[in-house]
Formats: sequence, C-alpha cells, structure tokens
Amino acid sequence: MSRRLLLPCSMLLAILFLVWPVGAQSVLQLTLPNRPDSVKFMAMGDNGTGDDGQYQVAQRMVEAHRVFPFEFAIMLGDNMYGSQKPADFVTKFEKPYGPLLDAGVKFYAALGNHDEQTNRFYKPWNMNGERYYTYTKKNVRFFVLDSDYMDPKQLDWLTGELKKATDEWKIAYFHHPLYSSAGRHGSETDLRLVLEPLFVQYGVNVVFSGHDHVYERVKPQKGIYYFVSGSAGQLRKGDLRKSALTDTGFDQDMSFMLVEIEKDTMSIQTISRAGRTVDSATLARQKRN
Amino acid sequence: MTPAKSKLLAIPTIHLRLWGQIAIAVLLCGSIARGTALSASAAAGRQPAAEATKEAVLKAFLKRIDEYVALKKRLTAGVPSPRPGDRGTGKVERAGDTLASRLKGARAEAKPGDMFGEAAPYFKQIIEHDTETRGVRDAYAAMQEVPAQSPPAVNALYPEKAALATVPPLILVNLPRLPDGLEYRFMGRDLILRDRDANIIVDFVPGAVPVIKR
Repeated sequence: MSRRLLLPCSMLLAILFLVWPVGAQSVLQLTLPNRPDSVKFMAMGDNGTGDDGQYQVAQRMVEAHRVFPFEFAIMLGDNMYGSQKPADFVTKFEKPYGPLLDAGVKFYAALGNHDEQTNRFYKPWNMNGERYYTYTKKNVRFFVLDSDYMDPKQLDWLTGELKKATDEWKIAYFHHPLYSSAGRHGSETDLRLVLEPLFVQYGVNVVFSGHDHVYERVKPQKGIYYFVSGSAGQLRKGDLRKSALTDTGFDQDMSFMLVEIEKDTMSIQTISRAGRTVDSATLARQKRN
Repeated sequence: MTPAKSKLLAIPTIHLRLWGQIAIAVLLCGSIARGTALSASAAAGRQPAAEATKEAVLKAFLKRIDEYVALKKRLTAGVPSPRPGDRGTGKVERAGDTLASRLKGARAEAKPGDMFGEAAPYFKQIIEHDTETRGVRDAYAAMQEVPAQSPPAVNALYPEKAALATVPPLILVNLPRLPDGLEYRFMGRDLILRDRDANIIVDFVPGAVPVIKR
C-alpha cells in the first residue's frame, strides 16, 4: 500500500511545494500606518489586458483592501488594451476588480495611449466625460491629465486649476512619465518641458505615471516625488535600467501601489503579484515658500 | 568620435530592427542639409510678403475647419451626445458610428488636401523644424508608437485597435489650435486631422514627418 501511495503522495507534496510560496505570501504584511482618518488609495497602471496576470494582481489588490481599506483607486492609463467593446469592460475591468467595486472602491482613471478616448464616458472610471479633470479627497487635490494629447488648451486649464488650488497636497497623475529609467520608453522629455515648470511653480508634491511596464520610485526631481507604476497587468521584465534617477525599482514581476496620506506625510507600499512588498517609504510633504 | 556620439549612432542599429515599420530612416550625413533648411526657412521668415502669405493660408485653413465644425454640428442633430455612463453600454459606439456615417456621406467627394490645402507646407515646416531640434533618441521616442498603417485615407476610420500615439506637446504648441472634437495625430510619416467623436480621418498631410538627417 505504501508503495502504491508513494507516487501520488510525492506528487501532492511537489504540488504543495510549488503552490505554497504564493499562498504563504498572500497574507500581506502591511507597512503603512493605516490610520483611521488618513487618505488611503491604490495606484495602478497599464492593467487592462484581461490576461491572467491582471487577474492575479487584482486578487492581491482585493487582499490588500481587507487589511488596508483604501477608499479609491487611481488608474494611470492603458486601463484597457486591444478590443474595447462593451464585453471588454466586463472582462478587463468589472470582473477582475469586482470585489473592490462591490466594496465601494471608486476608480478615477487617466487615459493612456491604448485607451479609446470615449472611455472617458465609462461611469465606473469617474471621468465625467472629461479627458482631464480634478477632484479632492480631504486635504489632497488630484489633477488627472491626458498626456496623450497635451495641447495648449489642456495646459491653460491645468494652469488655472493649479493656481486656484489651496490644498495641502497636490498630486498629478497621467500616463506618460516625466522621469523614467526604463529602457522601452524612458522619460518623456517633451512633456516634462511643458509640465514640470507648472508643477514647480504651483507646488505639486507628487506625480504618478505608468506607460513603462515596471515600477520605479524616482529620486525627487526639483523637489517633486515621481513614481512610475505601469505593471498592474503588463510586465517588461528586466527593462528597468537603474540610473541616477532611480531611488528604488522593481521589474521582476507585476505590481501596484498602496498610498496613505496623513497631514504632512505620505507613505507608500508597493506590492508584487506574488504579494511581496517590493518598496515602502514614508515621505515628508515638501516645504513650499 | 566622442563616446556620446557613438552611443547615439548605436541606437538606430538596434531600433530599426525593432521599429522596422516606422517609416523613419536615420541617415548619416553632415549638418549641411539641416543648416541649409534652417537658413532657408529663416530667410523666408524674414520676408514680410511670405509672412503675409503664410498668415492668409493658415487663416483659410482655420476657416475650412470652422466650416467642417458647422457641418458636423448640423449632422449631429438627432444623435444623442455621449454622457457619462454611456460607455460600455454600446450607446457611445452607436453615436460615433452614426456620426461617422453621416460625415462620410456628406463628405463623400472629399479629397486629400481639402482641409489642409495650401497650408500643408507650413505644417510640414513646423514638424521639420521640430525634428531638427530634437536628438535622434527623442525623435525616435516621439514616433515610437505611431501606427504604421500608411497611407491614411480621407473618411477612413482611424484603426480601432491602434494606439493613439502621443503628439509631442512641443509640436502641438506650434500648430494652429483646433476646436474641440478635432485633433492632430501621426500615422506613419503622415500628419492626420482626426475627428475624435467620429474616429475618422478628415484629412492628412503626406510625408509630414521628414527623414531625419544628422
């Protein structure tokens, strides 16, 4: 009997051995303060493939939400790839993030170069039909831009909104990174030339982008924190060419970010598809004149 | 050759293979061509008569744009404007398809150049000048995700699954401003005028992106 069972038992053990690391890591070790009154959100970019990877990352997001109940999520563009018919909104968004939607998490999207522009009319992305828009959460104002088409009209709008904003934190997010050490795309210098002076002049604190399918925390540039988080459904493994810009980076697996802002500090935790924390930091709000 | 220059020269070798469909070839040649082009355009810019012509031609272009917008407004009658919540239900697609079909019908006789007309050389000039002021890597980056489907056709749909490659903001600030619903995009080496609501190509300037020389 023991001989007869030896092979199946060995196979079972082998399977358990292969599966166990993922399962074991799925219990998220939260490094964030997780205070009751803080602004809590999740950031993800380049997610909408409908492939297994997106679903696996989405599962980690759901697990993270159980221990870190983020109220909303920011989408950094390429929220949907390829076909974008009504059915695709189900398979590439509503299904993978269903548990988050059911839990009341609101999504605020920026358009990427793979998104159809009419996606701004998709209600769950809260764009209200606009390519660029702004909203606040407590002491934080978000500026969501369409970096695919940064025309003078959008720049005028941004200037006006930044001028008006008196919020303690100003966060901008859009698809194309002003700073990136990834090999495939890298820094969008054109965009930087038109946006960075505005960010500096009007005291933007943090900028999130995607486009490059890696994670990178860039060293503060002109006092501004920059993040590239473009691997919540896509991955360009090994594409990060760590440079003088790089503070921390991760290009070995897909990932997403958890962010918490309370008073003058912002804490971040970046989590891989396997549930591993690949970056965490607490950053102080910049002192402005 | 400085190390920096040799690095630049290495880029095309790698990327031409990767971006074989991008219709830009980086050719090695001196800066004579660039200098000649720049000085020619600078000289032209100094001539008041040429400036007046340019102004008139661009004004005429914008008038045609206004006429297009007026036509579109008439054709939009009865087509419900998309509202938040309509995407993902099929309503936006139906509205876009209806508008595209009406525009195609109303402009069935439209030919390439009907919109850009005599202004086309000025658009080419702006893009050419921009290209000359960029490094090779930047020029490549700007064209990296431009769909290679070429040539475009008037009244054709912009390819559904093709990425909407970014138009460099430094080019956009120099091109005549367009009203809502119209935008400039690149397709291959051509500059297209795209109707955002109907997803159709209204007109295009062939070969607007020059062969980059350095």
